[in-house]
Amino acid sequence: MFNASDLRKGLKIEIDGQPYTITEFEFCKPGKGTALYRCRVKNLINGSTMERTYRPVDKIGKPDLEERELMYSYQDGDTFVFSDNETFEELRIGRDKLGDKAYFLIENAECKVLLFNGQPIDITLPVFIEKKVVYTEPGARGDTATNVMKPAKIDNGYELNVPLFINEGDMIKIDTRTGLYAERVNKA
Amino acid sequence: MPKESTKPDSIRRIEGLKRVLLKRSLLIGSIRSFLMERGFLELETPLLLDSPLPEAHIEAISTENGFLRTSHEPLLKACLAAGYDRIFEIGPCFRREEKGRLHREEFTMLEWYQAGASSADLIPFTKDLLVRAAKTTTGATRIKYGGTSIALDGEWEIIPLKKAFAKFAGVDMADSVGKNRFEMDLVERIEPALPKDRPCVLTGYPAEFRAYANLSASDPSVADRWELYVAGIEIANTYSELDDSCEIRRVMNDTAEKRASMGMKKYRECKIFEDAVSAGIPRSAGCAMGMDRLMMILSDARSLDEVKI
Repeated sequence: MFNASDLRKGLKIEIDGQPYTITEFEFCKPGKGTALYRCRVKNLINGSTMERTYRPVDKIGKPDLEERELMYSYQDGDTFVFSDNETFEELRIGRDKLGDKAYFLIENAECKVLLFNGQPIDITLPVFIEKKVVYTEPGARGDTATNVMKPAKIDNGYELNVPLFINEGDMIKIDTRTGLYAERVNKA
Repeated sequence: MPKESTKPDSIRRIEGLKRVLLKRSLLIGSIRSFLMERGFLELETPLLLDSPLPEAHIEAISTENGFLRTSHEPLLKACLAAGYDRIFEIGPCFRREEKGRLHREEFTMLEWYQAGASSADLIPFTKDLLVRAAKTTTGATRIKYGGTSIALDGEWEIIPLKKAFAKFAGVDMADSVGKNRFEMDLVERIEPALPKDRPCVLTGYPAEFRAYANLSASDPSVADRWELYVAGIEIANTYSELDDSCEIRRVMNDTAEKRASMGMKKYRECKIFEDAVSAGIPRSAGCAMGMDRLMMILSDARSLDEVKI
């Protein structure tokens, strides 16, 4: 259990059996009264947020969270298989839990998987991945503007916007945190 | 490589504070002149005490040689007992484990006491003081905080807490205190509902939160005490100072018992305060104002870190 005085921004706590992270934290002590710890918390599984206020006597649950470094191995239907480099243990994560991140998995990429009570709830991928553009309308020659975008598709079907100067066959860098185009790696 | 980039972050932070610290110096100077022009004597009392004044929710920082003061109160009340009738002190106070956007374990506090005055007398006085401080520091009496314009010399909203609880929290203040929810309701329901476009004075704190204030003569269920909020931030606390020796001793005992029940540190008696009580603390009113928070408000800052080294 955590004491209220342990609370701070970024701390992960458990409320009603769900894991949360503290996104905003404020210490207050109104009118010569007791200290209060006001927190805005975000559910680590569904992303919902709420406010909670704790007193100095409160005990706050510590979630059973484990972060494991795993390597992405292969796709098996709608399941993605990761393996532990040391124990060779396999962990399978369904597409529903990965969302768009499923598009950014590259074989042998080192990923950080967050487990709550042994179940995967979040995954952190390498920040940038490189992918080939398989489809986009040709851009005007010599147009190097970066603020005008057009749609493009990468080899696994993921669609994103890229600058006009990107052509089919170009390798681009994608930011896995946002799913947005980052830069061109090389021309086709 | 330019020289600046090699400076440690702490030095660059202080460098960035230059403008605000100049204003802060003007602020402290203006408050000093304001009080001195009105016959107040500036005092410098010890920071290191054998034992702090017991308060229900404040822990002192202990050192090998005693405790750092949590307020100027015990020593300034000793001065009142010694016959000084208009006094003030500006200086650091220390409270353990109070850290946040609006709290630091070490902070600068102004306290002034006026013998013979009532807590109500101090409302217009505090208004004049803030108007002067703002004028000197920012050049205007209308300030802007978080996009809201606040006329310090305009009308101040005076709200009895009992009314605020009924209006903003929809609960009876006594019920809130009885359910041990007073602070929670104050922070979650009352404070967010206070008008932000003018200074706001909350009066009539529950008797349970009297600290060392007299109870109200007209309603003994509340303390003769008010707090000032500017831009939603609590910046000053004023009492009609508890002056009945028996009552003071009773409050001290109750406070010590309350502290013990909450597992807080047990202090020896605060000798200088005991002596002041024995000698007799005169009828007076006193105000404690956070200088760092005032500076935040006057410079539209979000956190104490933006206005303090």
